[in-house]
Amino acid sequence: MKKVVRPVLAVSLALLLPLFAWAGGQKEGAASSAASATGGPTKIVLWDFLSGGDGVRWTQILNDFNASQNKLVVDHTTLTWGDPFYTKVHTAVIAGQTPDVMTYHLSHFPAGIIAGDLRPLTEAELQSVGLSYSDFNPVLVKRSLEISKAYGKAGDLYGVPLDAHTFVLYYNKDILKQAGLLGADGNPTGLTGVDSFTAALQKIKSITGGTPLGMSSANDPASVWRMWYTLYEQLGGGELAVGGKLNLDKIDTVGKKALQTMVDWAQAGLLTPNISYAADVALFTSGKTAFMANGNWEVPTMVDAQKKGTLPFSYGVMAFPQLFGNRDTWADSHNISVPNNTKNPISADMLKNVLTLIAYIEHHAIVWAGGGHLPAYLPVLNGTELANMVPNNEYSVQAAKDATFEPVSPVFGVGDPAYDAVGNFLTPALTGQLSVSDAIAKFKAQLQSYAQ
Amino acid sequence: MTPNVEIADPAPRAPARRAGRKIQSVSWRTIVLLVAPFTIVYLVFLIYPTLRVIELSFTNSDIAGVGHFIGGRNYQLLMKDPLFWASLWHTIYFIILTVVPNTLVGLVFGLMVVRLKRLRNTALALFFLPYILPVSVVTQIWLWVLDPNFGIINFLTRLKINWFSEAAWAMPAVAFVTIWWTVGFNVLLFIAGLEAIPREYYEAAALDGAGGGFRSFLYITWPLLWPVTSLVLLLQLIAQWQIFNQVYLLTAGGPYNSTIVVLQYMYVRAFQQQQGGYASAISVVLFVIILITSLVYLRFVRLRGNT
Amino acid sequence: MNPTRSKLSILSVAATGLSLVIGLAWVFPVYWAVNTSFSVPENTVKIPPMWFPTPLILDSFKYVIENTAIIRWYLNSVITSVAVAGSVILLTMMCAYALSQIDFKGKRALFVAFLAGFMIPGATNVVPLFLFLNHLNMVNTYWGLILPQLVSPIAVVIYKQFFDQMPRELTDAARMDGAGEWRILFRIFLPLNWGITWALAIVLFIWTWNNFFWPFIIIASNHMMTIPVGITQVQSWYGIAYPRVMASAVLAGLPTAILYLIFQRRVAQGVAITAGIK
Repeated sequence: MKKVVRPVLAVSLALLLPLFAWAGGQKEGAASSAASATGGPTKIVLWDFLSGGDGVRWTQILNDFNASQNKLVVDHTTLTWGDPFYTKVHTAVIAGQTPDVMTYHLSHFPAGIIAGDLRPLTEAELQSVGLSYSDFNPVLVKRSLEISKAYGKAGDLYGVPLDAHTFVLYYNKDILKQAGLLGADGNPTGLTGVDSFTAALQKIKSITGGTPLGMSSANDPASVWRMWYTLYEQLGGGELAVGGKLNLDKIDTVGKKALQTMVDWAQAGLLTPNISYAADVALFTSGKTAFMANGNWEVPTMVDAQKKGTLPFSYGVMAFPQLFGNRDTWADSHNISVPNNTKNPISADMLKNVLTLIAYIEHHAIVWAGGGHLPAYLPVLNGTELANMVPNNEYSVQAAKDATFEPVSPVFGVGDPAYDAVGNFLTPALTGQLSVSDAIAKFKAQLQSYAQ
Repeated sequence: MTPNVEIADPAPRAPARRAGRKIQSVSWRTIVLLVAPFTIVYLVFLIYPTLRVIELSFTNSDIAGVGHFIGGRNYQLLMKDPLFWASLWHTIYFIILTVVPNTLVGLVFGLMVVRLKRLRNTALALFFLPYILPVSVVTQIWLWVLDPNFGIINFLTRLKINWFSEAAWAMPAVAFVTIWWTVGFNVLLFIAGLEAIPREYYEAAALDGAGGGFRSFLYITWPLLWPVTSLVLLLQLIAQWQIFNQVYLLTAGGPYNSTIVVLQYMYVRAFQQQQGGYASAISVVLFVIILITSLVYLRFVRLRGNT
Repeated sequence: MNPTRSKLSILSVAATGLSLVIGLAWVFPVYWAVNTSFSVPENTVKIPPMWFPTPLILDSFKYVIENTAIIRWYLNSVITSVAVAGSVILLTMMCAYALSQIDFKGKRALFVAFLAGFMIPGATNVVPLFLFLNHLNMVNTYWGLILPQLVSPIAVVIYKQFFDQMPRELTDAARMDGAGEWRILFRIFLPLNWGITWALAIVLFIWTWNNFFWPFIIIASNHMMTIPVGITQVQSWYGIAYPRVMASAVLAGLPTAILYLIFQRRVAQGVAITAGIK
């Protein structure tokens, strides 16, 4: 044994040195310049947070892009959604080792611009690949420019809009039919107005015995926020941030009512009080809950499951119903952004490559619409293919009208402190660990502390 | 005795021989070449950061190193920071839930396994296997096993508890996973310690009619095992003060920040909120706590129990 | 037959059986994870659950390998673990040899300085380490991963302990024969300490492989992640995700599990000596 081991050890130690030398050269971006130098396709490094059903559609677009030409190839990584993603981006910016392009939430633009993580894209740069600001959903562009003006360079966009996405209600047609909640046209009825909705839930509960409305809340403040914010706006709460300042006056009244509605449902066994996101999806797709209140990004999960034959019921998707004075529903927007790498600024060539990729993605946004989203690119948004896409056409038109975006503030939005406050105080109210008054008071106090 | 400072002379010199002393004819160059690499690594990557973290704690540096001196302001804020104190209590709670229980469980399993002859290695491997898995594999497994809706534990026990999402159960669940993961280490050490106790002691006690079982455990095993037991306790104490991985991966500090621990809070302030100076203050406080804990432990606990 | 003896052996068989049952129950979660990883997704959410995957499919593993950079993570983990284990062994062996076999000014102070390092918890130095490595542009690189993990005063202490036990005559004779210190270290001391060297190397390899916290801090991008970080930071699951998550966990845990099962004795030895118990 010893005789063999000694030379083996010597060889391994000898291998260590060149390993170090080679290893030292491995950096983000090193490979792509090496590849293009030898004539291979240039690599574009992309970071996204799109796991879930829509992630599959996203991967498809990128694969199609790679297959459609041989000058550029996209190497994409899907990282954990939310805070971890934005923390990683910031660390990467500081280290000067950023991806070339990334997905980014419109709601995180204020925080991202303040942190210096985003590089603005001028209209001229977009025009170099045949795009202009006016090609996109004016609602999204307007909101984005407002943010640019308030926090960064006025007149420039800090990302190219990809979509608007919103909170919808998935429903189990078979159960609804049993409960008499399916109209003659096959669409749900009797769900307008909080009293009718609650009665409908109770009717379903008496039939199935299980919890009728599934909503994720365990380790998922984002879902709780989406529901609460929707109810808050439907109750007329209005803007939570105006001109960069927080406007929290109505939280004690309107916000309390919104939370009370959710808590009442939970306590009556009508809303799942403490399940994880994965469980929420699993409960609905296995037919145990009749409704799932979730983002539109689980549409492809349903589509794929139905195609494979693993969905044991007929499903539908509707825009979130009007429960109070209006039908406002939470919405956000995915953008494609370029990180602001000050240590190693993006070269003009790479920028062109990235814009080429963005242009391709936008032109093929119909695939992205398969992820349940409302594309931002007008030619696709207004096209007939989208109008015929099922189940998108069941909810998209209405959802676009109801879309109410996150407050413009570094405190609100994905990966921002407000979600922590939701998780700390609103979620425990659902499980009865905090009273609604306590929860709202503490929630408001924490939001105020963030504003400093 | 100082070394011969002549450099690079490989020719053999007549060795200076003194009874019981080492032979000296080694050049400084050789000594430096032998000692320097590790010493440099040690200085640069342990000593320097330790000094720098103290320095940083008096600044308002961000995570890019940009900032200036602000005196003791970080510490003042820290003393009034409710989340910091909460993270401290949570860490202490975690320590209470793991240090002694893990040691006891390790001892019990050690006593069980050391009796076996042919099956000992198999049995030890069963308890030790979790220990060689990476922490993230362990947490992924337990997140699934303890899944509230579809996990096997809730199925077998008919419970509906959301283990990592209910404030009452979250920390105990994390503690249990920690014990599952690391008890093998303790079992191994206890087996080594138990094996080192000479059989004659037990035989002598049996001859004296002292009886077996519990009494021999109390009067022979426990005292002779004490060096191992106290070592296991100390190692765990130091390790669990620095707990981060399991909490971050299982509960992320939730639910509602009820399980956030000190090191995690440091991470949040440093990398999520980009406050390097403040995070350094937290680090320094943690360092001091660990230092004091170890010294107090060594002074009072290890001194006792010398049979 | 002596009735007491047969009673004792029944008890002892029972106790042995109990030990095995408890041991098997203890590792049951590992079995459960493997079971799930080979299962059809819809079967994993069935009540009652399936105790053995029927049908047994490899799709989840295929998915993980094709849709994550797990192969690259393996490579990163191997590079890092080999580099750290190999370098620590080499550096600490050299240093311990000098501390053990050579008298020089400042030797005692140096050794005490190393012992003091035991009191410094590595985790509290993360912020300045990050700033320092960023300054050197080593964030998200192998250097950044490897260098801080080379600090291992315990290896120095262990080697010194073992080297101190080497008979004086060996070094005396060798020096008289004109052997340089390097020769003595690598041709005499090392071969006589293969056992603990291997034990240490394997244990260092496993610890570095399993290290989560430091790689989590210093690595930002996908292709530089090590296995433990990669499986938690990269998510591309949808639908009923449990088998895929378990498949990635199984793939991640396999290398160290296999290493352990092959080198059981060495690992046990390595663990024991790093705890100060021979």
